[in-house]
Amino acid sequence: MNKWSRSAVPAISLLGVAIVFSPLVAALIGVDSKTTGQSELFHGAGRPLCISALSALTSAMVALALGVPFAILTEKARPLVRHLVWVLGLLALMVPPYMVAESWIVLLGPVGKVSKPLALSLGFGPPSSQALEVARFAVPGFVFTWFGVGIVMAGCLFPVVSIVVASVLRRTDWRVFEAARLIQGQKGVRRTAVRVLAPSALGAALLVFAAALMEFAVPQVLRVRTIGEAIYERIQQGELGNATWLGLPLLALIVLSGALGALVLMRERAASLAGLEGEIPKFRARPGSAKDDTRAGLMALVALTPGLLMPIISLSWSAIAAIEPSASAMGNHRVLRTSGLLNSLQGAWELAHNDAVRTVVLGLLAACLATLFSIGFCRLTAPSRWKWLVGGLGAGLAVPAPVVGLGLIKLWDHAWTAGIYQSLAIVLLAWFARFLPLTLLIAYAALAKVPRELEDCAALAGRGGWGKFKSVILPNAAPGIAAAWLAAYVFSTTEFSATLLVSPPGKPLLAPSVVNLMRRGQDSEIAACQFLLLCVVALPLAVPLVVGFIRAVVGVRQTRTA
Amino acid sequence: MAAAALPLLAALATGCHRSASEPPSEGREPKDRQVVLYCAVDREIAQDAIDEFQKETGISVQAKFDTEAAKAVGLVEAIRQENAYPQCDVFWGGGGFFCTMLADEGCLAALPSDLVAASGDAPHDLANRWLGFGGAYRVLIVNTNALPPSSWPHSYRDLTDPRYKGRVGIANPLFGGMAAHVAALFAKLGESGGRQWLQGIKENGCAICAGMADVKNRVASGELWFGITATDDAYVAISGGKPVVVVYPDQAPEEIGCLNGYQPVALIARAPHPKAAESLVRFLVTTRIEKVLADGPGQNVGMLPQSIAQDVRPTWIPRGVRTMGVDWSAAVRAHPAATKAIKEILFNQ
Repeated sequence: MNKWSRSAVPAISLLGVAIVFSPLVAALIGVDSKTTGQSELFHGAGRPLCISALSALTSAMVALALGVPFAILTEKARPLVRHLVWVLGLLALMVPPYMVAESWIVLLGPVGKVSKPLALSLGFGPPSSQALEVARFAVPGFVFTWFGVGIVMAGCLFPVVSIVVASVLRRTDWRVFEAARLIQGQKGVRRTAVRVLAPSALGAALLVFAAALMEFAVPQVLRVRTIGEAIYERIQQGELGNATWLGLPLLALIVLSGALGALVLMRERAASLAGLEGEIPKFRARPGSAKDDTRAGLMALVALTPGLLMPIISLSWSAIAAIEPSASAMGNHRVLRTSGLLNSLQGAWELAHNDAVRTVVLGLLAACLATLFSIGFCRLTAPSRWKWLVGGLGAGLAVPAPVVGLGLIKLWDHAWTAGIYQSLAIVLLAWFARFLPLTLLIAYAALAKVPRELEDCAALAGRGGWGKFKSVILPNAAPGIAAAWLAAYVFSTTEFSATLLVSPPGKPLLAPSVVNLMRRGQDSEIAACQFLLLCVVALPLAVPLVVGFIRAVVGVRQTRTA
Repeated sequence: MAAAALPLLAALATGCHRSASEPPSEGREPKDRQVVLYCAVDREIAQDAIDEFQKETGISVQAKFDTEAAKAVGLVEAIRQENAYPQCDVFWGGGGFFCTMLADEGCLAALPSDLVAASGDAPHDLANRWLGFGGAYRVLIVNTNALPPSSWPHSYRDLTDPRYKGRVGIANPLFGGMAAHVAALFAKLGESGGRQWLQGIKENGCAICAGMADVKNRVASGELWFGITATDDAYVAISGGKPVVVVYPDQAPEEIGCLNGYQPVALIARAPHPKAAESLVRFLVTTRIEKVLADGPGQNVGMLPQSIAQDVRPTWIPRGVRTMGVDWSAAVRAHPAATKAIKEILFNQ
């Protein structure tokens, strides 16, 4: 480490701490005339806290159950199917969780479009077939429970586990499994697979646990009283300081799970001298067959149903079933006074295209800056004693969104900071405060996997800093870095709680607008707005995904020709 | 480093340096050509009025909207936190309850007295710090598939009727409009009366929904038979062809009447653009805008003297709905007791 690097380490570390924790500190030390004693402060918070932890635990376990087989079976499939399934997996990661929760209510709620007819057809309905009795029948469901919250979050976050597991699989020599099979049969293969995959899968599941724990929108939509609601309640009563203190128990849980996850992930190193030759180490299994494709397809169907297929079905259902509003009541408004999906889409675009463009540009900027910062932070701090700070910064995930928003107002609403507070820079700061910890954890795990020996070899071969990064770091850590970028982009563009509080007047962003219409709109408008938000989230990824898919198709054709 | 560089660059680029006594910077708009509106009225409802104001006056409205999903932790909290250095000029919406709270905390300035005087019996703060217009009733939304007309409820007390056990709902009373509603009930019925009602709905298995729009959704889907919602939310279900009907509760002479959740407008204390703010308030509190609101998705009822004379209201809302007289200052005072009771009774805390 040279002199410049040594002096930069504390600077970048302190900067990271300032970005992530300054809103929290501002909220904690802010004037709070209603601060109460500790016993009263935490009174009644135990149950919501337990429910938060239980739903997050469910998310982590279900994500593990879905994500590991999804990754294994997808990796075994032939290139075309593999690429297609991975594209769908990434799409699942991009659907905002509150949208998924809405679809669960629509389809599987007590009078869901699927659950009620299914229960009636299976004979669980009322004994009488009278219309009134049938109309009054409701399925006692699990959607409005902490378990429902856990399943929804798992459906949204399982690709995190899959990506990590697939990353390990691609760096594992499949001859290991062949050898195990020859010696101990299928039992040996299973034991070897567990040893190879378990640490990474567990680490990813802990990250899912941390991400699910910080979720505030899904429990709201599913009417489950978590710690988030208790925090909102105190803020409404004008007790920002108390609300912030109430969120602190989450910090311990997040630090524990997030740091443990990152630690487990970074211990999973993959070594290959091929990195020096500019090649990504990939050890492939035997070529997949049609049977492998079928298995991968079926597993994808199971795994993608909760987080991707259900929102698509619900959205399509709403769009098709939209009833045309009566003309006399419609008036002039651009969105709410149109009819049908296409008109509503046009109306939504007319109303919110500026919001959409603003959201995409700001989201791209936030994701790029957060990723660059994370790479710089991890590379500089990794060889120093500051490296453990990344785990501490992970605690930033537990700071509730409204606390971030209100803390930033306290911090930046001054004459000398008007330039920031009255511009979109304040929204960037809110997004960094909320999601930089996640980007850091993912990037840290990805970069820590790259063996130092390879870098040393590259240095001996005469490569400089950039050369080492290009030939060793980037090829080996690219999937993790891409995942960090993706996480920053998706979470930022779909965030609404802090965004709503700090976005400057006259510069609305898409997520708050869409969330509002989702609560109030007609079926066609809800479908249109959800579709618009999904397009915005997926837009910047569409190009590389389409290119990748085309390359896979061309590759298959060339193989067949050969 | 890059993350930190951006705000610094932005600060340098905007170059906005002023003393604390000066109003916030105007951007490219001249001082009297811009007004900052914090709008708790939904965007789709308010946008027409804002558009008309901009078109007519040439003053640019920089609006910031709220969302039900943020509970009440939206603009009201932003105004509270910005109190030392206000960014907002006009606050529109939030109901009499939250405006009274903000007024008590010194966040609001007095409205022009001639404007309040010209508004006749329209509700306002004793110190003229907010003025209500554009009425929206709290009604019972009833699913017509599940309940025949003979079984329709007629009072908020019917939420405690065992005939409807487990199939009634209200928005979460710890937040937003329903918190105001319960505080108003506590102020009206007294603490014991309020607690008795809460106990009744608890025993009747009342569903606690995410918001009034959520109550509407659950009733429209048939999951609940009826619940309390606002007329603008009910209208979304009615115009969407859902099997629902609206009942105006407590209309008998001896009953308390239904709550009017009108949309107050207020000037922010130490606002950066006071002249433009006053122009906007004067523009909003007119029969013309009440007509726009009545015709739009808000489906508001006129409350200003001229609007009442011209019978400004959506055609589906009947004339002469009896409303509950609420002293919002008393409701704000009753709020802590109401919150305590809600937590104890409904959430077992």
